[in-house]
Amino acid sequence: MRTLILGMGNPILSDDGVGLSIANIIRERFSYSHVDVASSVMIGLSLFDLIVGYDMLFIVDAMTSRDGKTGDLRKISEQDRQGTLHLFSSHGLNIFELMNLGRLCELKMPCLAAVYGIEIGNDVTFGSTLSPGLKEKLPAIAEEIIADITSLLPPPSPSRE
Amino acid sequence: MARKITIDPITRLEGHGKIELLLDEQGRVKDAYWQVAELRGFERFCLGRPAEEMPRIVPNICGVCPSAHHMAATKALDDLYGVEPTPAARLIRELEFNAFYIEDHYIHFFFLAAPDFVVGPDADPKERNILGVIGKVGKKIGLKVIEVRKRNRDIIRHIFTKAPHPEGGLPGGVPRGFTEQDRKWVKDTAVFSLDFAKFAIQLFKDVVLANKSYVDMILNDAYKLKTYYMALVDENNRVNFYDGTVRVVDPEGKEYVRFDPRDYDRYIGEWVEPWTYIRLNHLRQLGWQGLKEGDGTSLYRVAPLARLNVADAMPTPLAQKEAEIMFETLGGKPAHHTLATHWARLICALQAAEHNVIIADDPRLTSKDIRNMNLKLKNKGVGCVEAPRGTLFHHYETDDNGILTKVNLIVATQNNSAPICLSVKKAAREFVQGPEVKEGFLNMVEMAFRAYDPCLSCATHSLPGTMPLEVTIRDHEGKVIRKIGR
Repeated sequence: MRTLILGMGNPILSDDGVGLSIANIIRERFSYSHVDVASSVMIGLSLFDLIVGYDMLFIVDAMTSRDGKTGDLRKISEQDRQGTLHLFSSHGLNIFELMNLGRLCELKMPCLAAVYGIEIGNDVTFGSTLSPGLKEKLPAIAEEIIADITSLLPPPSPSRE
Repeated sequence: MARKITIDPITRLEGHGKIELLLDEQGRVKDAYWQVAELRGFERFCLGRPAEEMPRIVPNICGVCPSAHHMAATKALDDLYGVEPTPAARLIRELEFNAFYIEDHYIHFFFLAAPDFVVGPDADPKERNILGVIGKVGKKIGLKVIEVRKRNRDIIRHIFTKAPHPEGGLPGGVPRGFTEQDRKWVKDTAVFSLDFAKFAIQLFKDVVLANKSYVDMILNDAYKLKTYYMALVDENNRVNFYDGTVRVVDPEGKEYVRFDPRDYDRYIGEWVEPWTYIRLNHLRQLGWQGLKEGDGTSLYRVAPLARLNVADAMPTPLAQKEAEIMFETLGGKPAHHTLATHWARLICALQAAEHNVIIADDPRLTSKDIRNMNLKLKNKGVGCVEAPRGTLFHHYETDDNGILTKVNLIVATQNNSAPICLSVKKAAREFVQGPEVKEGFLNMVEMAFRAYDPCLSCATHSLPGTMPLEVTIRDHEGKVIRKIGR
């Protein structure tokens, strides 16, 4: 079973790029041959190029919600989004719509195992590094995500490891 | 009693923005403001960096137009270093830019415009999306959209290392060319894209033009705005996406001015209003005349319809034929019907596909002479392209070591910002009457600005966890008297 862990964000928008930072940490920690770690600055249709063909998908991305505090981690499943979640994207196609579109067109779409949302607040500015507050919390956030992904990953095939 | 209706945030639009409609005592729309919460500080972020970094930085500005910013930055570096790309490099850049046009315009048409025209402007928002479109036209069409996009992105990736964010822009050339072995897949992609372009035009005719109510909607005065128009043209006044002279025509279609892109600040004025972060562009030599159309206006528009209004002709035969059909249907040239922008967008995509078929057969495509290294720093450079959303300017200045000391960008949405406000106001006056606003009517207001394909964000990836559309009606004291949410 091939798995993709995808970090998303904008590398020049400071905390918006937290998903990319988490992906970098995961990439250093994971060495399973059946797990790939990728980064993307785009969503929408562009994600087809990255995710089609995988069996399982995890996404790590920045998020902003009304009551969230910077560094809070939320885990969002595909079922949670009904009527409440809208992932703004290039031309309005959110990840869940993308999954539906792919299935409708009979592409080999992965199972979206989880979306990890990291709260970044509303004060995003241009910058190539995370804010000090989020940077300090980054290791703990990454540990939590890695532990969760590890618990959900199917065991690797012995012949492939 | 004045009331205020807020549409916040705008749906199916890159980034965040909101519309405020102010009602008079009779509940009629008195004024409309399209507000943008713009991220600030990009210029400061760039200063002090080597100018060569710009083609790698600017694609991150925007999740919609990475290739346009990348190309404008690359051309600004050409100018900054006083170097002309080799003929082969120019050809390869045009191939890439056309590929981007094809990808971009079909995403807009099928994902943003088609829900309104194929599913219906007053359809349930849950169905008024790409899934609803595919439900109507069939999944084979969905697969074709995905395929045409993917194939053209392979061209972008080949030349500039990766898509969607190309990074390889170099002054004087391109980082990678093509071999004779590559020519076959490039030609196959170009031909596939051309077939798809013909199909898309026919689909528009079959679904939109064959439906009288849709044609009436396009021709409705609520979606009409008389302004100047701006676009790049070649030496024969034909549409040119990649290069040329900036031409402006007046609301009657007569040439008002044409200028070298380097002189943009002599002709483009940027007006600031307290209710929005986006600057309101106008023709500087006419002065800021406010949010006004027709006689006495100083506002101009860019984007696909503007391109066709500005140019005397299209550079490719099929696009020329379709442009003639469009203007005949719309009652002549220039056409001021904002919703016809979708039609013009399909014609521009057709032009891009036709042009790439020609490029694919050009012997220069496989030339090894793809970089002019005769670089001489001039300390100032301006790059200009016709981005899919309209004319885009990048202006850089550096010290003698090529370190950036000034950066100024004029983006398409900024060019259109004032007309978008006016378009929203006209549509709102037609479709909104007091607090009793139906969902379909609100979408018809949104359609007025969606046609411009405005782009607001810097690749926002937030998960708001809230409704994508919220309408708030307030009385003159700011008290909420009604809320409508999707």
